[in-house]
Amino acid sequence: MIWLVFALLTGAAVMSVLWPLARKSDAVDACAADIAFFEEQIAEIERESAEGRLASADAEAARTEAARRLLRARGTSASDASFSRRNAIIAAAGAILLIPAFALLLYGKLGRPELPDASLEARLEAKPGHTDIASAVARIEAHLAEHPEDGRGYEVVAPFYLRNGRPAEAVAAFEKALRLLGPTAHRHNALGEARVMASEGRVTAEAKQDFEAALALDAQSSMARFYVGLEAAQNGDHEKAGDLWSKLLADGPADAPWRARVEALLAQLRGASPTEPAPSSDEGAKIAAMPEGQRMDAVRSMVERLRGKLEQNGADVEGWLRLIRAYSVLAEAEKAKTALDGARKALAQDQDGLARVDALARELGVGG
Amino acid sequence: MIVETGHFALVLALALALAQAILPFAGARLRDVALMRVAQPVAVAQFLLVALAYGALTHAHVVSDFSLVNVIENSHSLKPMIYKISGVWGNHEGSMLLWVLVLSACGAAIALLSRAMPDLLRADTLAVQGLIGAAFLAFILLTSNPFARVADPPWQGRDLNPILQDPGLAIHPPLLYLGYVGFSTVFSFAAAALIGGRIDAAWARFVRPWTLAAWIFLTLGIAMGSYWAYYTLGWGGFWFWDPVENASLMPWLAGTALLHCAAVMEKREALKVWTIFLSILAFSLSLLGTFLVRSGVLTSVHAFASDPERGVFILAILVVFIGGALALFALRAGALPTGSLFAPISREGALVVNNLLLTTACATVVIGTLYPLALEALTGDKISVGAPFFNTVLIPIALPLVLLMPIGQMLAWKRGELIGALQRLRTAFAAGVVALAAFGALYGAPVLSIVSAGLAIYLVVGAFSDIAQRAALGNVLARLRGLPLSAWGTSVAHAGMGLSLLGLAAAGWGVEQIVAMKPGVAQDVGPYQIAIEDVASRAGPNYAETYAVMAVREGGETIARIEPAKRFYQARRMARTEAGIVTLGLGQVYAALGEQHADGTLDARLYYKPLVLLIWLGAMVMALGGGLSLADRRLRIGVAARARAAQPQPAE
Amino acid sequence: MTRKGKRLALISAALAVLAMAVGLVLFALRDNIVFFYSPAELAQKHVAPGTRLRIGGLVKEGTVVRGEDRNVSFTVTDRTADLDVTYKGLLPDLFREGQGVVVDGALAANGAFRADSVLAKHDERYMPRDVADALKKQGVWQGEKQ
Repeated sequence: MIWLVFALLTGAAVMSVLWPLARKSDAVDACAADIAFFEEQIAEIERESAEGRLASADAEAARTEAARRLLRARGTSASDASFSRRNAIIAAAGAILLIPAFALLLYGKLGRPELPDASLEARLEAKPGHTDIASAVARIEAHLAEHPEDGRGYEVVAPFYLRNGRPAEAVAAFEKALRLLGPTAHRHNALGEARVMASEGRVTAEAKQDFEAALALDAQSSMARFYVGLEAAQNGDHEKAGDLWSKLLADGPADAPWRARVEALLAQLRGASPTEPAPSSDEGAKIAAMPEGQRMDAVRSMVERLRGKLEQNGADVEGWLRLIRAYSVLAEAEKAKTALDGARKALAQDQDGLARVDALARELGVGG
Repeated sequence: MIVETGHFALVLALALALAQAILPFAGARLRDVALMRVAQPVAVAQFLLVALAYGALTHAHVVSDFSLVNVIENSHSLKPMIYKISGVWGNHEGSMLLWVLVLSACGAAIALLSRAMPDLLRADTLAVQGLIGAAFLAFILLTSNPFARVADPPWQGRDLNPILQDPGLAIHPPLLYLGYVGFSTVFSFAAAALIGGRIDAAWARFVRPWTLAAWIFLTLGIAMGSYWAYYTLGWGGFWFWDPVENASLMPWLAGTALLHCAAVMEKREALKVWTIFLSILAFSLSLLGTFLVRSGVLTSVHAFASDPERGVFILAILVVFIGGALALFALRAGALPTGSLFAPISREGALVVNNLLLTTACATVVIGTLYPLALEALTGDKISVGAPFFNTVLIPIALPLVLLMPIGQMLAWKRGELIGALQRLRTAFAAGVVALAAFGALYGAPVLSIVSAGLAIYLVVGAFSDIAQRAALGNVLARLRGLPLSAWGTSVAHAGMGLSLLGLAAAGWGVEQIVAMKPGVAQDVGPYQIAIEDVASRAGPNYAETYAVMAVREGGETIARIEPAKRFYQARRMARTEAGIVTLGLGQVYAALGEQHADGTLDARLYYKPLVLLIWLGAMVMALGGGLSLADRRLRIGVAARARAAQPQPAE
Repeated sequence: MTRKGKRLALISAALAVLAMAVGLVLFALRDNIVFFYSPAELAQKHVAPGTRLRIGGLVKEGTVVRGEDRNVSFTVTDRTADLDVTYKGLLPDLFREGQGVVVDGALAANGAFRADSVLAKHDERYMPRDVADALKKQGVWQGEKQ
C-alpha cells in the first residue's frame, strides 16, 4: 500500500518534467517584455503630464529617454530560441530514469517504510491488555486531558511520577488530587513528601505547610511528624527535632518500619558518632538530613557505589535503570551516556531488559 | 504511513529540485524553449511535495506520534493544540523544513506569476532557486532529518521549551522566514541577470514586487519578534542586540537599501551594478543569519569546531552561494552597460546617499555581530559587543538618514532643486521644531530622546508634505485619487518610520522600578499606582503558576487589573516569568514578578513605558506602505500587457 | 559636471561616509566591548577597578546571602578561584546555588565585584556558553557536546 502511494507520487513528479517537454510551444520574445515595459512607461508619462502632475519640460525629457530605450529594445528584438526534439527526448529519458532511481536510493538509505504511524491515541486503543506501567500512565494522562476534574486519576499517576524521577509532575498531580478530592492527612503527606523530593531532600516552607496541615487533620500522623522533625533538623533546630523524633519513637508501635531510620537519625543528631554504618535503606533519609554541600557528595558517592556494583554484576536491569536516571538527574550527560553504553553491552542477551533501558534513554534524552 | 509518505515526498522534492536546477539552465544555454519551460511545473511540483512533507510532520505533532524523534524531543501529549502546531517550527529540524517550504513556495510563486517574463530570465531564475532548494533539502535530509524514527516509541514527549510556548512563536518565525527567504527570489533574479547578461529597467520592475513582498514580511517579522521578546522575557526590553536579532536586522537594512536603489534603476536605468550587488547581498545576509542561528556557532565557537556536521554543511552552502554569486558578479558586472546620468542634487542623488548610509549601518551590524566570533576563534578572548557599541555607531548614522528622508522625497528625478525642496518642507521643519520645544519643556531630558522625537515628528509631517502640496494644486479629492499608489506607499512607509522613531525616543522617558511590594500597598509608577490585591496559584495544562492580581490605579480609581505570573513547566523543569501588561493609550504598564518572601512581600519589576506601542505600530505602518506600493498595478508588467492585448486597436 | 567628475564626487562621498563609519566603529569598539573572564582568569589579569567585565562561573554552594532591600551577595567560582559578588536587584528565575551564572559589572576598589545584572540559566542541557567554555577548560563541566 505504502509503495503504491510512493509510486503515485514519483509518477506525478516525473510527469511535472515530461509535461512541458511534450508540449510544443512558442517562445516569448525575450524583448517583448522590455517593449511592453517601455511602452507602458511612456503611457504613464503621458497620463501624468495630462493630469498636470509633471512639468511639461520634465515630461518631455522623460519621454525622450523612454522612447530612446524603446527603440533600442525594438532594435535588439530577435528571437533565437528554438525547440529540439532530440533535447526533449534526452531530458525526458533522464527524468524517467534518474528521478525514481535517485528517490528510491536515498529513501532506501534514510526511510523506515516498515514502521507504521504511531499516533498516541491509536497506540492507547491498540494495547488494552498490555500491563506495562508506562503505557498505563499514558492512558491515564490521556484520560485526564479529557477529564481534568477526575481527582482519582491524579492520585493514581502521582506515585508513578515520584518513583520515576519526575517529582515536579508528582507535586502537580498530588496538588490536583488534593484540590479535587478534598484534604486528608494522607493526601497532605503525599504532597509534602513529593515537594521534599522535588527540592532534592529539603523540607521547604511549602512542604512544611503540607505536613502541618496533615497534622491538623491527624495529630498522630507519623510521616508528618517525621518530616516536621526533619525540617527542624535541616534548619539547625536540633532540640526541636530531637524532641519530635523521641516522641514519635515513644508513640509508635515497636515494629514500625520507620523505627530504625528515625533511631539512626536521632543518634546522629545527638552527636553519638554512628560507628556502625546505617543499613542502606536508611541512606536516603540520612542524606536528606545532611547540609546541602555534603548532600550532593553523598548522593554522588552512592551513585558511584551503584556503578561499582553493576560492573561486578551487569545483569541487574533495575540497577542500570537507576544508574542512568541518577546521572541524568545529576545533569551528568556524559556519564549517563557511558552508563547507557555499559547497560547495552551488559544486557545484550536480555531483550526485555534492553528494551527497557532504551525506552528510558529516550525518555530522558540520554545519548541522543 | 503518513509519516513515511512525508519523508518520501521530501526525498522526491530533492530529486525535483535538482531537475529544476539542471534542465532549465541547460535549456537556457541551448536556447531550447521546451527545456526552459520545465522550470515552471517542476517548481510547482517541488513546492507541493515539500508542503506534503511539512503537512505530514505537522500531523505527527498534532497526533503525538512519538515514533518520530522530533516529536519526542519537542512535543508533549498534553500541550495545547496551537503549540503542537507551532512547535513544528520551534526546533531545529522543523524550522529548517519551514525554511525550505518558504523557499519552494517562492519558486512556485515565480513560476506562476511570471507569464510576461522572458523565458530566458525565468528559466535561469528558477534554476538558481532550484539549486538553493537542492542544497537545503540535502542539508535537511542528511544532517537534520525531522523524519528520523524510533522503533519502540515512548509514551510521552519531552515538551517544547517553555519560552517558546507562546502565541508569539506561532506568528513570528513564519513571517520572519517569508522575509528572509523571500530575498532568495531577488538573489535568483540577480544571478540570472548576470548569467544571461541582460539587465535593464524591465528587470528592475520584475524584481521590485518580490523585493517589496520580502521586505514587508521581514519588517513585520522583526517587529513581531521584538514584541515577543518584550513581553516574554520579562525585562521590558524590546531589542537586545543579540546575534540572533542582528541576523534578521542585517538583511532588513540591505533589503531597504535595495528597495530604494531598485526604484532608481526602474525609473532611470542607473545604479545597475549596485542594484545587482545589493540583491546578492540581501540574501547572502539571510544565509549568514541562518548559518549563525542554525550552526551552533553562537553557542560556542569551540562547540562548532568539535561537532562540525551541521555547521560545516551550512557554511559550505554559504560559501558556495555567496562566493559563487560574488564571483559571477565580479566576472560580469564590468560588462553591464552603464546607466544614465543624474545631478548630485536629485532624487537619484538622495537615494544614493540613502544607500550609502543604509549599507554602512548594515556593515556595522555585521561587524558588531561577527567580531566577537572572529576574535574568539583567533585569540580565544571572549568579548561581548552589546547595546553601547551599536548605539554609538548607529545613532550618528540613523539620525542624518532620518533628516534626509523627506528632503529626498521632495527632490525631482534627474535634476533637483535643494532650496525649493527645503522651502516646500517648511511645515515639516516647523512641526519638528515645535515638537522639539514641546518635548523639551515636558521632559527636559534625555537630550537624545528629545532630538529623536523632534526628528520623528518632522519625518511624519514631511512624509506627507509632497502629497499634500500636490493635492493642494486643485480639486483635492480628485488629485488624491489620481496619485499613484506607490507615491502613497512611500509616504506611508516613511511616516511609519517616524512613528517607530517616536516610540523609540519615548523609551527615554519610561519609568522602571524594582520594588518589594506588600499586598495592598500602592506603588507609584509614572502617572499610575499599582497595588497587589491577591497572590494565588493555579494549574495550566502543562504548567503550574503563581500569579499576582495587581490593580493599576489612576487618581485613586482602578482602571485596569494585570496578572503577572511565574510559571513552572514540569516536563522540562523550567520556570518562566509571565509579564502582566496593560495598554493605556499608546503606552503600557508592565509588571514582572520576582521572588516571594516569607513575610508576604513580593519582589516585582514595574515599568511605565509611554508611547511604547508606536515602535511596533510604526513597523506595521511601514509594512502597510510597502503593501500600498505592492498593490500599484503599474508594478505588474503582465497585467498591463494582458490588458493591452485585450484591445487590439490601441487607444493611443 | 562631467561624467568622470560626477563619478569622482560619488566615490569621494562614499569614502567620506565609510571613513566616518570606520572611525565610529573603532571608537565604539575601544570603549564599548566587554571582556569575559572566569574568576581564575580574572585573578591572573590584574584588571583595574571600574573596568566593565562579564564574569561567568558557578554560584558557590552556601555563599548566597540575602540582605536588606534586595541586596544579595554570593561567590562565583570556577573551582580554581573564587570571586565575591554583590548585587542589588531581582535574581533571575533560574538562579540557584551550584548552578551556572553570568554577571555583568565592574570590580570595586576592595576587590569585590559589583554586578549590575545577573543572568542564570539552568536546565540539564543548557548552560551559558561562556560558562560552559570556561568550565570545560578547567575540566569541571562534563556537559554533552552541542
